[in-house]
Amino acid sequence: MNACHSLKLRIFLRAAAGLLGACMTAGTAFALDWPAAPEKPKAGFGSARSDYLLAQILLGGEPVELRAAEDGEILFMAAQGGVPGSLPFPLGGMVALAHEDGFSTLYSGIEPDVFPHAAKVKKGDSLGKWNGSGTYGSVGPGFAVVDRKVQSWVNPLMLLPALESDRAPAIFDLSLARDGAVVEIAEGRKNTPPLGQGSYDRFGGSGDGNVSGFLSAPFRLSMSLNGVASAERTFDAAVASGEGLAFTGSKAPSGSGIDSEGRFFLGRVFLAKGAMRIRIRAESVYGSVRETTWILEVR
Amino acid sequence: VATRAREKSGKHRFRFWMLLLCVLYPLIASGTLEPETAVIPVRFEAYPSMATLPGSPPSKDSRESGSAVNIVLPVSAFASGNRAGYADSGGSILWAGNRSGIAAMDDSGWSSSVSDGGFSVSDPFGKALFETRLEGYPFFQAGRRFALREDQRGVTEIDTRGQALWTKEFPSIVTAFSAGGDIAAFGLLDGSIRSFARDGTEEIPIIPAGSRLSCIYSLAVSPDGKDIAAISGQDPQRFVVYRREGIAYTPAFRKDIPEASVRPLSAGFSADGSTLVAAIENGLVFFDLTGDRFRTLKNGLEDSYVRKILSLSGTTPLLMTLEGKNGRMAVGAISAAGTALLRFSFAASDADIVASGEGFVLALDDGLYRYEAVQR
Repeated sequence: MNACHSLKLRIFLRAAAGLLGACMTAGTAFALDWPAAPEKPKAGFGSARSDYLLAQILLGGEPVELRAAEDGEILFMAAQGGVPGSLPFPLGGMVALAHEDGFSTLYSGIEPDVFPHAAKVKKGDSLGKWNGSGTYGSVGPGFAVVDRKVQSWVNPLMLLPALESDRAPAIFDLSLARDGAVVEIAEGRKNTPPLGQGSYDRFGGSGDGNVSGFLSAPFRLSMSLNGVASAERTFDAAVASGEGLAFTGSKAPSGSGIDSEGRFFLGRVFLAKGAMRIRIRAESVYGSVRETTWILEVR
Repeated sequence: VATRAREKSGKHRFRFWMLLLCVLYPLIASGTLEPETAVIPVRFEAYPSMATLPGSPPSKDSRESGSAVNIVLPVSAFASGNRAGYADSGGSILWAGNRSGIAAMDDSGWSSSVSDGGFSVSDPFGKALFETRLEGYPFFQAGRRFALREDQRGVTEIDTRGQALWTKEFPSIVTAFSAGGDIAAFGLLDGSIRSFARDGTEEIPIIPAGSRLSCIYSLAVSPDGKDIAAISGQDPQRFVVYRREGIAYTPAFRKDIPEASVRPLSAGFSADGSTLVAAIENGLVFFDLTGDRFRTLKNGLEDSYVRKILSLSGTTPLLMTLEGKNGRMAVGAISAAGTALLRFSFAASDADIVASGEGFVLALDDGLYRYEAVQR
């Protein structure tokens, strides 16, 4: 990722988070290197878990060693099993680095190397070895980016060098919920049962084609009704609020924006009598697009 | 024969040092006018009830070669080698089980995971109390039970039937925790402290200031919930105490710490809440809340890490286990006046201390050793 691209992404990120602070950091470049071999992640930013959304990625491949993604200093370090007191550490062994410009990176599921206290590290320095510790550790080491200035978690794929391949996201289905009843319409289905007129909660099932592991969010998911844009969710950042983390386009806490099947909430809409054309558009972080349209009969 | 002789020699050496410590104690504590509580070993041979523990008997050399075992979460329960359980103040073993199967433990009960998700909780006698399908990693303190979400950003408090009382999602990952009185406090990687009442009502967040980088490394909530102490930040790292004033916790004391740590640390109040000890890098902070008296102490074991801080009843000492380099561990005790009362080190791969009657039990790989606290 060149400096210009990095800068654009940073400005976009700040804007997406609803902030006006881009100019404060636009003069510096915060471009990360992959902490391990650049492979398709096994889980992406915004992946739906049982009752929350993942605010990190799980690195792909077989990363033996995790390296600092940028120059920084050790902010926090915990070894699996070496934590005093009653608090469990489900993320396993971890290292958190503080970088310039108020960014932090977090590496988990590893056995940290031994560092002098508050040691400074250079980009590419070893931080520890993947040891499979923690909940996700058996899948892959976790990697997260935090913008401490604005209390937001940032999609690492926006700041890491782009992967060579870029597959379009997948669109699985559309779900319409009303008064406890749920209508699920698969991606390729043309003939749908007629719906009653009224307000519906809309959920879109979609996944990132660039993730090799379990279901992951696309970078952006939008919906239009009869050609008019009506909802958009972007998995670029999750901003801290009083209730937890609010991913762009939804309200906190993060779990409130998914249904039991891991579909993403895309707002409530009133479906009037007649033919309703609903289109879902999913974009990858690198720009690939997939669209699916359903025509619903509303009586 | 050689092994027995070596073991006997080791015991004799240890008895000698213990006796020496007991003799020297009045000299060490001579500056104190009030009666002090001393911790003395009443016997060093293996705890008699150890024989009742199920499983294979400990190896004679296990204190030298025992494999490392993660400390689980005992407060007044014990964890020794690959066993964990409960002993009453009279020394009888109430229940013991495989330590590897225990996810969380305190004197109110212990937890183990169930095969199809969730976890169960049993009392100190091993009787099942409830089973819950709630996801997360259980942890207990001050009679309260919680489950930490797998991404370390969410927590649920659980009632006595296994039902969720409240659930919160944090903006950052949890790095420290303590509970006392009606307050449960969580320290976050972002440097804030979030505390909750028993009904889940969130208190006004505490955000220690004055450091270039923010992070919470340890937390201790006083037994009445009115004071919260923390080790926070980098450059400088600070020891901070907050006291409840009306509806919020306000800064009551802060002091820079000379040598910063990046690791999670232990901290704990005395049972009466008048003093506290917090681990720092290569040492300890002692703080007397009645007079805002602050002092730093060396923990006496080179390059060691405080694994656990435990308070005995009333104003009796704060105790701690230390983990050093090369398989050395130690137990230390600090009086209510902030005086180092006792410290002895030994070769072990794991050690734990638990309150027991008027003293404590030291749990090692090869058995349990009981010590009593006496007024002098």
